[in-house]
Amino acid sequence: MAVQKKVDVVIVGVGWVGGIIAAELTKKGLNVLGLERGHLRGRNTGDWMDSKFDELRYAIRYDLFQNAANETWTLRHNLRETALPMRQLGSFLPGTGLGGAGVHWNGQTWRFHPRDFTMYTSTVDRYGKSFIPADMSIQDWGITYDELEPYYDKFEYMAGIAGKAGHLKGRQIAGGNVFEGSRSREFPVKAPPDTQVGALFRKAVTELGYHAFPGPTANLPVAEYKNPDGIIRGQCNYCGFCERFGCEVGAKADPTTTVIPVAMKTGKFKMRGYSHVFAIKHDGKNGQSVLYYDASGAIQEQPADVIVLAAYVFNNVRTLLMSKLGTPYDPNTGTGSVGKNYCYQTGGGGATGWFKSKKFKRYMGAGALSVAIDDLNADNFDHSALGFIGGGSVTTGQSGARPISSLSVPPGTPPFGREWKAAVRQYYDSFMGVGFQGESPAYKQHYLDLDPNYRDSFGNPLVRIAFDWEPNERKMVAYAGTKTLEIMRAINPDILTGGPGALPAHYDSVPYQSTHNTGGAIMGGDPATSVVNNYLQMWDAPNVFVVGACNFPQNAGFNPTGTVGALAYRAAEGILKYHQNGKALV
Amino acid sequence: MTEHEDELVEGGEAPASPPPGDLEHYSGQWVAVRGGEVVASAADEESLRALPEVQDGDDVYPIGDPPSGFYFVEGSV
Repeated sequence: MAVQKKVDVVIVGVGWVGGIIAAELTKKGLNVLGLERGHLRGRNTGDWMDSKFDELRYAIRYDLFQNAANETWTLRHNLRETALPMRQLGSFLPGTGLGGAGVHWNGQTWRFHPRDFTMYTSTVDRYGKSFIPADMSIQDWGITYDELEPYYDKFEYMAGIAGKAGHLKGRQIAGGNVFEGSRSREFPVKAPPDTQVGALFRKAVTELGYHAFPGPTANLPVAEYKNPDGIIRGQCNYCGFCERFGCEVGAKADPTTTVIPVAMKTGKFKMRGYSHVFAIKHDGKNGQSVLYYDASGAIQEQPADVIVLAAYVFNNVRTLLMSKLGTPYDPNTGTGSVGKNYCYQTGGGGATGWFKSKKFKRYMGAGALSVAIDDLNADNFDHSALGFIGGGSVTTGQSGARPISSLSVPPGTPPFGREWKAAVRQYYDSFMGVGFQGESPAYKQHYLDLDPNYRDSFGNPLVRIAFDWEPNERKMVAYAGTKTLEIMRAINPDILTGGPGALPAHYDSVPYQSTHNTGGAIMGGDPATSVVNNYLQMWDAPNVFVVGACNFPQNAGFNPTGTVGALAYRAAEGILKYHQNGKALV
Repeated sequence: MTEHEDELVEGGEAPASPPPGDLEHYSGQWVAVRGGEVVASAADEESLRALPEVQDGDDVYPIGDPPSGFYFVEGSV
C-alpha cells in the first residue's frame, strides 16, 4: 500500500457536495484533493455535444450511473427476510463520475419547509404524540429553516435558480409558493412562463382553491446568468434531455459547470479519478487518512487533516460502517446511529389525462419546467381526521418527450400492433400528468447496514437496505390520488385515469421511481441519536465531515438537491472553522 | 402496533415465521388493517367500510398491483 502526500482536506466523491466544498475551501487557500470513483469526464459541456441525444445509451443503458455489476445494494422488506442484491439499476439511479448525480439531475431545486426541520416537535405540538405511529422514528434536524436559509440562498445564487418567491422577508406573495419559509431575497432568475400543460394545471388548481406557482428550476430560462463566482451560463434550449443526460449547453446548473471550475481556478484543487474509497483509517478519535483502490486495483492511503465524505447516500454510510467509525444502528435496541433512518420518496397518487384535440409540443421541455402546488405537502393541511402524517408536492411538468420512453397511451390500448401505433400517433403530444411526490418518514425498521452475504467486485460487503411501504404512506398516497384526480377532472381531458393511489404490497426495486434515497448518517442535536452535528461534523470524529442527503433524518415531499446544496455550504463553513480551531463545532 | 413492530424484539433474535399481515394476497383490493393484521378486504373502499368487521380506527387503504400502481410525472430527479 502506497501512502500519498498529506493534504489539508480530502473529499470523497466530487458531485454537488464535493464540488461546493472544494470551491469554498480552495477560495480560502486550503489544499484540497477530490477522490472520484468514476472517471473525470464532463469537464466542459462539449463532452456531451456528439453523444448527448442517445436515449438508448444514457437513459436505457445507464451510461452515467453506478455499474451494478461492480457495486450494488441488497434489499429486504423486513428483518426476517434474507436481503437479495439489485442486479440491475431500476428503482433509483445513483450517478458516478465527475459531477456525480449533479450531471444527470433534472434541476428541480426546492427548499424544505420550516416544519420539515422540526417534524417531530411540530407534529407533537399540533396533533399530540399518540398521532405518530409507534414504529415511526422521525426526529428534528438539529437545525432550523431560518438557520439554513442563508445557505439555501447561497446555493440558489451560485446555481442561478429560476423561480418566484412566495414568502419574502416575512411577507407572503401571491404567485409564489405561499407555504415556503421566508426568503431573504427573491430568486436570482425570473421564473419561465407556463407551458401549455402548466397553464391548464394552473387554471384548474386555482379554480379548486389551491395556490399555483412555477416550480423552481436550475434549467436557465434567460439568455445569460453570471453567478457570484463569476461563472456565466447560457440559456436552456428546451431539448428535453435533462434527466439521465448531461447538458451540452451548460444551461442546467451542474457541478462541472459551476463550482468545480471555481475550485480548479484557484490552483489548490486536485482530483484523482477511478479512486474508489472504501474506508477511513482512524485512531478512534479522529480520522487519519482514507483508503482507496486506484485504477489498477491497488490500495492507496491518502492522509489529510480533514476528511469529507461527499458521495452518494449508500457510499457515505458504507464507508462509515466499513471503517467502524461511529456506532452502527441496531433496530432491536434502538441504539447506535450509523445506518439509522434510511428513507426514500413516496410515489404513486398521480393522475393522467389524454386529449383528442390538443397538442402540447411535448418534444420540447426541461427537467424542472413545471407548475406546482404545495397545499397538499408537509403539514400545510389539517391531518386531524386523515389518520396519517405528511404529504407531498403536486406538479405537472414538461421535461421533454424522448422517443423510447416517453410514450403514453390511454388505458385499454393493446401493448403492440396497429392499434398501439395509432394510439401513439394520436396521443404522443396530447397527454399530461399530475404527479405527487410524497414524504418518506423514518421508521425504526428502515435502516442500512453491511450485508453479511453479498460483496462488491473488490470483495467488500454491500450495503443492505431494509425498507418497505408502511400504513401511514399507504393512506397518504390514497388521499393524494383522490386529490390529483380532482385536479385532472377540472382540467377536463377526453380520457383520464387516477383515483386513490395504491402502493404495491411491498416496495419493488425494479421500476424506476425516484433516486431520492436519504438518511443513514443523519444530523441532529444529540450524539446518541445522530451521526453528525448541524455542521455535518461527526460527533465521534471531529475532523470527519459527512455531507449529503444521508444527513436527512427523514425525507420531505420535495426533491432533495436544494437542501443538499445548502448543507454543503453549511459544512464548508464548518470545515473552515474546524481547520482554524481544531475543535468540535457544537 | 404496526406490521413490523413485533419484529423489534428488544435484545432478541428475529422470529422465523413469515411476517403477519403480508399484503401480497390483496393486490388490487382495499384492506382494513388492525394491529398489523388484515381484518377485511374488498374491491373498493365503500364496500370495505360497509363490512361489519371493519371498525373505526382501522387502517384502510388500497394495495396496488405493480407496476401499474406507479405514476411519476416526468422529471422527478
